[in-house]
Amino acid sequence: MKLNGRFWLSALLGSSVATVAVLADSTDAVKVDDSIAKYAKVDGVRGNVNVVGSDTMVNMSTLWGEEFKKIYPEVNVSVEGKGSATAPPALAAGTSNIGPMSRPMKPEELDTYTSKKGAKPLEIKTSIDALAVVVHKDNPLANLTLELVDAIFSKTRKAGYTEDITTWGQLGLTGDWANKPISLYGRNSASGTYGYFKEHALAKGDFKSSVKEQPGTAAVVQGVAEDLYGIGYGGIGYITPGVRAIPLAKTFSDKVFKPTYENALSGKYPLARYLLVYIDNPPGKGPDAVVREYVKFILSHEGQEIAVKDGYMPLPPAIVAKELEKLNK
Amino acid sequence: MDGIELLEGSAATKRGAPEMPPPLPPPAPSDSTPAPGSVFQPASRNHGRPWIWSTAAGLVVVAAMLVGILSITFVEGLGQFWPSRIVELRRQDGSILLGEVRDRGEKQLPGRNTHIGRRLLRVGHREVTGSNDFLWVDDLDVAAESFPRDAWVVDRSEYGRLYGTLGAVKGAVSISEALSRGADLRSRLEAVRDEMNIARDRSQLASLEKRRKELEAEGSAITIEWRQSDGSVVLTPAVNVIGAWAPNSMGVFAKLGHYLTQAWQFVSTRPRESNTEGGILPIIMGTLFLVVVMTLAAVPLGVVAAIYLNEYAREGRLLQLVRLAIANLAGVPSIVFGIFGLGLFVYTIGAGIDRAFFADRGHPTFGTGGILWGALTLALLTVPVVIVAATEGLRSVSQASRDGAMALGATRWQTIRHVVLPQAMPGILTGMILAIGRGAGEVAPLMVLGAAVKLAPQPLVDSAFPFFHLDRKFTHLGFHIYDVSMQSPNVEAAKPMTYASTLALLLLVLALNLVAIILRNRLKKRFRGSAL
Repeated sequence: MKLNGRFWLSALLGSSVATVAVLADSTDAVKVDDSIAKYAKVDGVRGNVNVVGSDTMVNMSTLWGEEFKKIYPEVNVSVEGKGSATAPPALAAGTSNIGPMSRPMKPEELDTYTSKKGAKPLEIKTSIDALAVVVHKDNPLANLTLELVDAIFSKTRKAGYTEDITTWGQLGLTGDWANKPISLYGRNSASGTYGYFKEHALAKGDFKSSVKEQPGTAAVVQGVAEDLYGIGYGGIGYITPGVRAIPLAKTFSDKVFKPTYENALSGKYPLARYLLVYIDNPPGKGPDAVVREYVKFILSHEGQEIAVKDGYMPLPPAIVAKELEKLNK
Repeated sequence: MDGIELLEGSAATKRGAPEMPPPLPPPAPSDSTPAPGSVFQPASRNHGRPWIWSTAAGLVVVAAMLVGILSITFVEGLGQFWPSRIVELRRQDGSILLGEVRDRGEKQLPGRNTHIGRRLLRVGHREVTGSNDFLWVDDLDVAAESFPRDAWVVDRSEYGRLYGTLGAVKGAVSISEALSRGADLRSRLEAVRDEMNIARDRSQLASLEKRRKELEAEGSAITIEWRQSDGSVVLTPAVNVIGAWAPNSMGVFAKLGHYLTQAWQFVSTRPRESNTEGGILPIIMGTLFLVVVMTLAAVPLGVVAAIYLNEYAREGRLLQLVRLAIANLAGVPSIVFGIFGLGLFVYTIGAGIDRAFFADRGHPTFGTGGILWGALTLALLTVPVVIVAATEGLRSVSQASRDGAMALGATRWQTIRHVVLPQAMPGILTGMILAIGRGAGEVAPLMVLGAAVKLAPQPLVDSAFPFFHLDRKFTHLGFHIYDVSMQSPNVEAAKPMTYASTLALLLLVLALNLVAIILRNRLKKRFRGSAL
């Protein structure tokens, strides 16, 4: 396994030459499908939309809120984004009515919610994120597999790579880089990105204690952009020209894929995920009118364009139709 | 050895005579009365100088840090409004880039020990460039560089800036007319939206909606064309153009005027685009409000407590314990106060008010973090500071003043009210200044309470009854700084916003403190002489 990995690495790195800093590949313009309908204003929508949840989605939520308020000036929108873990309790307590989350609710979160509200919440897909592993823009590293990512970030190494990776030389970099230690940046545990990364990249293992935990993805990106030997992870929407997203493969035997829209849609990029919102769905009554309209706005052409504007990826029309159907049940 | 000799010795040290230090005097017998000049302890002659040096060094370190922080904040915060030049770069592959240089750096060529320069260019046009409108360009990649005089910066309400040359203007005779009519329409639209927000009546809403549609139609009739460096043409409705200027052809005075307009817009408009652009007016208002409500709650409470502690309570073990507890309370981390406030104000009192008065609303009104709960939590946090300072102020009032008042037949309360309190006022105001200083910068408790949010639903002050809405959530400058530096989608673009907001927070605290300091000095003047 180990030998295998090394061979694979050197084969891939052999061709890696100086990377000219250009816009991250992933930010190449993504278009919202024209068959997704524009939002149509409905009469008599009033009330409050209180959004509490994911940090990954906080800017998107704010942009949605700002636009929604332009359409319905009589509606009040507030947005708070301290992490996905804050969404379920706020929904359950009624302090919010929209709970954006960058990971699905855990069974125990669902249980607590259901026991308080008497019914399950409705889960709506809003957009797609390719969770990116980022390095400094001058880092020559060509690509990684999830096993290697696990060995870099985790102390338990559950994904299978046996060796602990602490220097860039272990990833095949030569010259000055070879004996430079890898400096790790990550999110704090309230974050859904933290949870998702732990589950999908670390195979539910534990993070090393040397990971510098940041309160926001922007801080992770900023940290890596300032630290030549840094590596971090975060939602694709936070990528800046100071960092580069590394193409990833699931295992050594798989191909590597860049975090592009096509690869995320097809599921080839291993860390693609849906960004979700949870809403109350009382049996018989269904979601509140204002909440329903807010979600319909997210799933409209305008709402999807906002997702793109924030750096994320829009839903394909088939999924939009499916999510809209959930609202009408 | 007698006192006179000691005095002379210390005088010599003061003059800085480089003589050998005199021998240590024999310890004075403990039963002898100290000589008149013995305040000049001989030991301090030997050890004094290093102490003086170290205190001076301490001051220098503190001053250097202060000057450092302030100058970075001022330079970065104020510098962003200055119109920087637009550069046109022709790259080796023939493509042309137009934008502002925001940063410069170097990179090492792989395998070689040479460094090449590069610059961070803001190219704008986020519809095409994605969420990122910044680009690092290597100097080796630049074939030619120029500063075209006809290049414009267009600040738009959506999708960030645009760089290009001016094309045709439709619906208006000139670009300046288009811009001013656009600005007028924008502010009218905003006013209509604000009215719609508080309108309760259906027919009123319908007429406002009609007016909004008219304004929007009028707005879309005026458009401006911009030709970009790649030859493409972008059409912007004038109503979406916040500002447009051609910095390369501006003189110094034009730039200065532009600078002042930009700075004014920053403090007088609302934020846009998920708080990364636009102004910070509601955020300043929120902070100001919070501090004022906090002060109104903390100062009276603290002063009343201090009066009881100092004037009425009997000295004893219990009082000592209370004093100790207060002093320790001042050292409790603010996050603990946040959690306490959440439990007491939001979950208990707020939820109780909701059950009693707003049960029909279906969503929490006071049972969620609003500015009132935020201010009260901060008041709890700052009350110990006020108590300590007010106690000091009360203690400084001489016993003779009190006795005099009592001797004239005043009751204890009358004495406190008319004699003690006025004289203790400077001390109380010092407490207020300290409280403002501590409270204005606190963000952690507000985040725990959920009172400070990224997007606040409604302004704190509007024309709907009761005008000041203490139940509403708000955005706080400190929180805003945290947000733009930790959570904004493009940290690079948000840097100027971070610095400018920091500067605004510093100036706000300074202004609040100045008011208190001026008040204190006036009071001090009034009681000078009479208090003794």
